[in-house]
Amino acid sequence: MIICLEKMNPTVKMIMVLVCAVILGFNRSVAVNLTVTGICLFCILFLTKRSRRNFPRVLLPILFLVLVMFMTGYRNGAGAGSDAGYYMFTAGKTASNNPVYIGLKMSSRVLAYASLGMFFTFTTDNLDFIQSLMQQGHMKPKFAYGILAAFHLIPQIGQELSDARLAFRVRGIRQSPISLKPFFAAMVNCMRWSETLAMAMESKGFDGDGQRTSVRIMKVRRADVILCISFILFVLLACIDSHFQFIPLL
Amino acid sequence: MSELPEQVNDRDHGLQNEKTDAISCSHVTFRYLQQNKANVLEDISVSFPKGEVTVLMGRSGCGKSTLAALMGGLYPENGGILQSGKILLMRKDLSSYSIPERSKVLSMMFQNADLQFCMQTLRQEMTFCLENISCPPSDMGHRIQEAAEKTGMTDYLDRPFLTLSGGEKQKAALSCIFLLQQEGGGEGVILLDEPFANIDIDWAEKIADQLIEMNKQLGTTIIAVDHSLDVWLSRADRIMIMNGEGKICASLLPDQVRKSEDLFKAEGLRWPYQTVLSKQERTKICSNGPAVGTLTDHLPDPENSEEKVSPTIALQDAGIYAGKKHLGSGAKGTLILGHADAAFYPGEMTAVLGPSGAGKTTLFRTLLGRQNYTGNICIRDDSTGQMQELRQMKTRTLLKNVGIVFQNPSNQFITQNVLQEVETGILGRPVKPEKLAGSDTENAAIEMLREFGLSRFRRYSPYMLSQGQQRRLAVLSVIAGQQKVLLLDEPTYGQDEAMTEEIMKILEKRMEQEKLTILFSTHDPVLVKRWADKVYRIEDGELR
Repeated sequence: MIICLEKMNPTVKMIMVLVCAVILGFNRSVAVNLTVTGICLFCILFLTKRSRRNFPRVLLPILFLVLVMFMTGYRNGAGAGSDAGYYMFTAGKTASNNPVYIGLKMSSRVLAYASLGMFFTFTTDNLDFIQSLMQQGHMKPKFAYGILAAFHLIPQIGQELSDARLAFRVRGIRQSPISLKPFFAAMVNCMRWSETLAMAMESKGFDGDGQRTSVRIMKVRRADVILCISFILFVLLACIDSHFQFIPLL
Repeated sequence: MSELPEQVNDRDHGLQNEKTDAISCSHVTFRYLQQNKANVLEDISVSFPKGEVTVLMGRSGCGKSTLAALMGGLYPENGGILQSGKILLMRKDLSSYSIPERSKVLSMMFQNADLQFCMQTLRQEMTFCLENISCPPSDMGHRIQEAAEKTGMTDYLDRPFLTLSGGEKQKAALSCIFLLQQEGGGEGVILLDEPFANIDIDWAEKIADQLIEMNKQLGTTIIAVDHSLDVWLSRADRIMIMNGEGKICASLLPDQVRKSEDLFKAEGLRWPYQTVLSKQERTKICSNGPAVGTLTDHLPDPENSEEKVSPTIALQDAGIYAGKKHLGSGAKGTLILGHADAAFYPGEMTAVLGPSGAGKTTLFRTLLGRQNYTGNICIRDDSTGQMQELRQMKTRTLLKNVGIVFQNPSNQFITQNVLQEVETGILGRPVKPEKLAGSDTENAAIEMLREFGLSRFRRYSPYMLSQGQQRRLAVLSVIAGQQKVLLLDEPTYGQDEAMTEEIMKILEKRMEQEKLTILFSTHDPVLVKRWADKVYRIEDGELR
């Protein structure tokens, strides 16, 4: 299973995640959201060999957002004199107007979406993803490498920001942590970097539309398709079941 | 000087009759923006014969990098306006090449190594290069290994670029050049823009030898933009000089350089015979450890002087770590310098030398409180006159005492125009430019800009300046401040000799007037011999 997740074709994995996200958009069940979340977190924690060093750092802001959504639903979604909220969040159906339930419904949806995103991120190598987008998704190298370069820009932005803050402090100018001036300086540097980078890529023979070889050959295996369809069907059936209660599980 | 254009014509005509040109520019006029007052390059006609090694020299900001980028096919496609002229690569119009076709014939290395990698590691970057030119995947592994060996980068193939030093990044960029040339059969053109600016002289010579070997064996044409002939004098076939108006004013054979002292001086360039150091002399400067006697004779001996001078910075059994400061779980990062003992005194200019990646920048960052360290590092707080342990100093106090010029000058800028950058340095706070109109501060700032040859750019954004001009502005903005300790990370790379002299003179003047403690890192032994009172070398994890 570990091998399956690590080597699952990234484009197929992306389709799986996107379709599941669309299905969850129509879902009203807290249980389905939590089930999807549970499966995703289980995969991240136990079924991948990729580094999970950043997992807590990613999870913390998501949990904060989940809490915010819960409180929004809990405080404003129902209760005495909050019919408008009740109808807004239950779409007029005879769902429970218990504020806890409404809070859970809102927050669990955010959690499910975030978990799907994390599942994709923590089980996929970015270079494999880009190669797969070009090989299976027929994306032009210009766009694919544009995405990759932007991805690689992220640590560079952090470094630029740190240097910009230091530059201000060295010059005796105190900046609050939320001051935009260092951000502006960092952004100017990053923009210059991106412009020069386009030329550097060109000077290394990169032609956005041309033919190129690839050291990573990405293939779609039967197991990838089976896993993708199975997971989508599982989420779809769970949603249908939770709506019609054919089997009172979710 | 009046004979010089003639020299150019004679030489060019001669060569054109004898050999095929690898690159030839005919009546090229170029500017970056339509609204610019002057062209960057003005009616340039120059040819680079196939199989020759040519060094292109000129004052910083004269348009050398622009000409290189034009010949590399990057302009005007990615910016600027080619107002007239034509560029031929291997007798074929440059614009008629497809990008992969051109890359097989011509490889270019940019001046700022920081800005030329799109992948995270060197191996990924080199794979990207080979994929671009449709190299079979089965050949990639050994080609990457071979190219990395030429620059000594095999151990760095899988290290993120973000963790490499400036010199290591330059070596990485050179590895990509070797790789692309190997794939193209080696008969093409290599364009190098300040290729060894951040690389130690030993490695610069080794890499230059590899380039020359390629030139001799395969007939590779090499065009290098450089401010110094230290590495090239014995290796180049031709030296071309650009003047301040963006025109080629001389084309010399290496044996003509000896007679061209006046030309070099007139163009603000370092005349190599004045400063070329013997290998032994260079080794003495670079390896003999602290306080090289001849360099420090004029300084008071802190031990024996009657008026005992106390240091501004003292390192005692200090261990310095690379990597992020806050790693958690008590982790400190990678130890790059152990058991370091050193003292830096006021009124003293100290050079910090060492191979690329030895830890010079990390040492400076440590003195700014940005890296983990063990042992003791004490810095004198100028307001109290007391030495304080760096760990116990508030960041604000520390940065009131210590200023830095970053290796990458664009990280230095905090305002949107050149004048404001210096004014902010003088005042230590941002002020709206209109409030300073006609004030003493503005006049002082303009005067400083004039001394550094930047006054005509005072309304420009700092980012619009050339690399060399940006570096000068970065130095200027820091020396305009009030700090008593200045850390200068390669302050003169990308500078012509005249500007190097100017920068160092001003630094020396300020140092003597205000008893500053100046530490500068460099790979230039001539600069060390000329200006350093004291030399420290970081090598094999030791500060000697």
